[in-house]
Amino acid sequence: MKFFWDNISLNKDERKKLIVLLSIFLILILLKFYSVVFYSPSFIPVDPHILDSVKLASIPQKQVYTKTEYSKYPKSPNEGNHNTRYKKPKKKNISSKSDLKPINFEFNPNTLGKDSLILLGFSNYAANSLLKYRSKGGLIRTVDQMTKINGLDEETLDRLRPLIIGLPKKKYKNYSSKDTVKQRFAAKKKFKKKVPKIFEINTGDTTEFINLYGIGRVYSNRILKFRQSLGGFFSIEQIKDVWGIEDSLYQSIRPFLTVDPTLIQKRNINNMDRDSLNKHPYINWQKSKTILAYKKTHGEYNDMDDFYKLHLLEDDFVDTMKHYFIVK
Amino acid sequence: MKFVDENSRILNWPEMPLARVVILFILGVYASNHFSLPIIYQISTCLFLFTVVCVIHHSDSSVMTVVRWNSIMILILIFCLGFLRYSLQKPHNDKYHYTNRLDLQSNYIVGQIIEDIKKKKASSSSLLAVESINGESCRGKLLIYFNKMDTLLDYNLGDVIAISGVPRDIQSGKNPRSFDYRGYMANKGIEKQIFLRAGSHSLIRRDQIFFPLHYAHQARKWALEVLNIRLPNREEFATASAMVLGNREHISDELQAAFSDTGAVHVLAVSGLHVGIVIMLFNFLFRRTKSESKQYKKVIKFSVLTLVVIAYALITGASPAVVRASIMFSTLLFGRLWFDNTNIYNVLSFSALLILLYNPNNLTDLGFIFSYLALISIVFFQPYFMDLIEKFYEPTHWLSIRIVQLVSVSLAAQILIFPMSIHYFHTFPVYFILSGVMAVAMAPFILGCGLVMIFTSFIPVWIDAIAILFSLLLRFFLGIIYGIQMLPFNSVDNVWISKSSMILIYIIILAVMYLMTNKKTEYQRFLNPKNTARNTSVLISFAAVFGIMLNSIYQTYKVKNHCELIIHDIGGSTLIDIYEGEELYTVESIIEDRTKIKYANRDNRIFHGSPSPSQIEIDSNLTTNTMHLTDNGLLIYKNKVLLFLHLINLEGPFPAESDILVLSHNCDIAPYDILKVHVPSEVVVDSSVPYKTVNQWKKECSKLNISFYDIRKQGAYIIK
Repeated sequence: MKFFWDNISLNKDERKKLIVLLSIFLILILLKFYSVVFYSPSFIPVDPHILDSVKLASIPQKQVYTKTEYSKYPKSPNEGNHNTRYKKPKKKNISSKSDLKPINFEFNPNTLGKDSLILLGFSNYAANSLLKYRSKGGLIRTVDQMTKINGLDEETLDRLRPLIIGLPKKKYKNYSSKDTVKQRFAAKKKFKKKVPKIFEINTGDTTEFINLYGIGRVYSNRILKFRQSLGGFFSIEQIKDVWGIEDSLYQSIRPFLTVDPTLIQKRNINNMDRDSLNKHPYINWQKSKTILAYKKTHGEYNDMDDFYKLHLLEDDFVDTMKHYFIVK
Repeated sequence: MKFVDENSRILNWPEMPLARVVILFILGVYASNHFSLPIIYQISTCLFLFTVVCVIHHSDSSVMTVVRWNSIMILILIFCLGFLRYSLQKPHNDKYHYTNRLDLQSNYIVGQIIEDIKKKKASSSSLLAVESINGESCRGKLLIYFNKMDTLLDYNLGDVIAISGVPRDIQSGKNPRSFDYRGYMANKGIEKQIFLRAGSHSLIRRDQIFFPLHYAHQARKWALEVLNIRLPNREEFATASAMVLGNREHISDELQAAFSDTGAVHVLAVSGLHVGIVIMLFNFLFRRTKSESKQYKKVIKFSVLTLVVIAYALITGASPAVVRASIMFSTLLFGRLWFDNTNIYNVLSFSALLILLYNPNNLTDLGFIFSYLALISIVFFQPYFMDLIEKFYEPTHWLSIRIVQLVSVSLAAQILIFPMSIHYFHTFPVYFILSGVMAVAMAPFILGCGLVMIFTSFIPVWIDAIAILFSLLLRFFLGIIYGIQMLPFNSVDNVWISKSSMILIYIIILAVMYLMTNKKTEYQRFLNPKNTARNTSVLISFAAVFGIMLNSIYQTYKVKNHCELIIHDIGGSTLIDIYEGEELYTVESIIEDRTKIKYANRDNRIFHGSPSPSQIEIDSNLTTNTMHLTDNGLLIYKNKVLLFLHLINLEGPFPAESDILVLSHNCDIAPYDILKVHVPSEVVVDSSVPYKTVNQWKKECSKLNISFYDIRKQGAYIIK
């Protein structure tokens, strides 16, 4: 016992110093306690449009379009034969009203695409009718207008009611009967359609693309994805290469676009392997094979003009490639 | 060693009250690691104890019992503080931690990138400091994996991005005795990971991380670039960037193996050794001011050295190891300069206390444990080894004195380290003295030369000369390392020490340390009946030796009579180990990535005495004591019938029942008709089977009330 007390007890001086030390520690730990329990970290609020586009991208596409269910036991002609290996399970028809659990997110019924509408819980029929209404130039201005959509049941509508955002505000005045037709016409003339800003397509973000007439969230995401895999645009006409953009749409948005080819991220052709070459939208496996085969036989490329020596590559193609690759 | 005085080396218990403090604090942290209590109770206990201690101390009582109980109370208070400190570190106690605000379906998370994006073949990863989740502010670190489809990720350090998805728990190895990756990450404060779909992330704004770290990152990038340009040889560049700047990205497996085989791997990771060397180099400049009598000189010296340490820590990326070492050495410097007669163990305890107060997770960090063990070991044992060597040979030349010092340091460092390093890494470098001496002797030159080269890279001709010199130095150093690696018997591999054995070895070492310090008491005889403490320590060490022997006998017995069948969880392939005493049979499908096998079963094989595995095919004819293999896919193991489905001829006759139906070797057969004619009592699906098939089998088994075991989710399947 004496051994224990000798080694455990502290003398007066030590106790005094330890109490000072421990009070400092106690204060530090209490500060930490305060920060853990009471102090909420601050953050800068974020534009909900960006969050929406990010969230849409994170939802697996398979959920939307296909849902396979396997029938319990496929009937086999004779009981002894249990060779199911080569039998494909029967697919159910894709039901018009999807069995998916609907996802709630804020949306604008005037811009949302079909796949997203189905995610919200619209039936296929209701989504089509809304799209048709919109394609004829219709615009949903109030929430009550949504009740007119065919195939949308009240239950879904009640759920969606608080989620609807971005409806256009009333822009027309209440004209009194005293106003003459001329005055009304003048008032109408003052209203100007919002003109999209002119911007550079290599630096433009989704919101800038969405501002253009005819470009929604889907197209803008597609353009940005295409730009990312490409490295950048050298000509405005390349927008047409994005899947789904027709010439008419291209012609309508073209005046608002500019391009600066110096912003293209150029990559070193000598460092690229098969996989990274194939990811480039303009290079198919045949071309990448040719490019790599030349490198294998002749060593690394010294100049981009070496590509003209490759007969399998057209000169136009090489001209394009010069925008995206450099030789180091 | 510069910091150690002759008289402070002795391990004298009453002179180091802080050792008691740190031991109890550690016990508190350890207890908190295993139990949890509501925080409010803990805080009120601490405050109550503190008040009682203060009141008693203030009353100035000199009654012996009161004094004793007051010291006991102080120690209990320290224990409680340790407990409380670790509780505050736990994420589920933090109201604003993101793990407490997760939505199960989908979340959008905004956060700042705080680690450079590491690009790998399968996916790129980075670390996110979460700012908000679903619009609510919160904090915490999240590991993110970008999809491999996203080829052009142009995010920089400090960018704020928005991501969406569901964070999941980090997966640990699910095989017996495999590495606990989840615990390792939790120790770093990273609780969850998220795999992003292509495009489900977006830049919100360009920003910077906390400004000193930002400039340190820039400086580090610049310094790496200087090294990269001046050292054309990749191996030299990798070594230099690791040793000088703590960047281990460029180190190849071959180089890593060379360093770890020779036991010099500690010089590759920037840690206490490097910070010590930097202090030593700068201390060299202050040699003239040896008479530190004047106060202002002390202040200048301390502040300059501390600034140097902080600058070095920042330039090496302020990794936890470096921050730790900086705190440790700053405290040591402070103690050495201000107090004349400091006990070095006291100073060490104080620095450990500071580090644990800053982040109690350090306690389970091997780097922290190793650096303190090494330092204590060197401080304590080095003089003894020095005396021992001087009995045979007394060095007179300055070079021989240095060499003897280095030899004794590397011998001394191993004593407290070797049990733990064998327990965790299962190897022991044989030529540690040789490599230790060379590495420690060369490290100051390499570090000094590298730093000089980086900071004078703007002088045109000089830099070329010094680059050549540096390159030669590195070449020489690497030559030595490779030379040592080529020596025969360079390392003892595959040694297994259980945790209990390790603790017993430490008890022996502690007892020996106690005996060594109490040698110079008046009791000279070995077993003096009056000196009970000495006798007890001798008895304890004997008991510990006995315990180790018993332990090893038990382990050998266990391994010899051990039969086990393990189907491993090894992504995309099949690996089955069948232990039968000292024999090991193994079944493998084609595995491209051989390192996967190493992670899956290396430690378990070492535990079983690393028998050489004999490869068998599952459809061969083989009969041993416990198992019987037939060529139609049946394995009878310990009276259980295992049926391997991929070997069954589906056209032919089918066995009516089996105990366990195993799906392995990429078996892709639908369950529907098979379960009609064949009823197993359990279905086991291994990690090579496609997800679709797994789900089908799971559904069917739940309908028919057959128990189902998914190795991907539940870990390795073991039959004992």
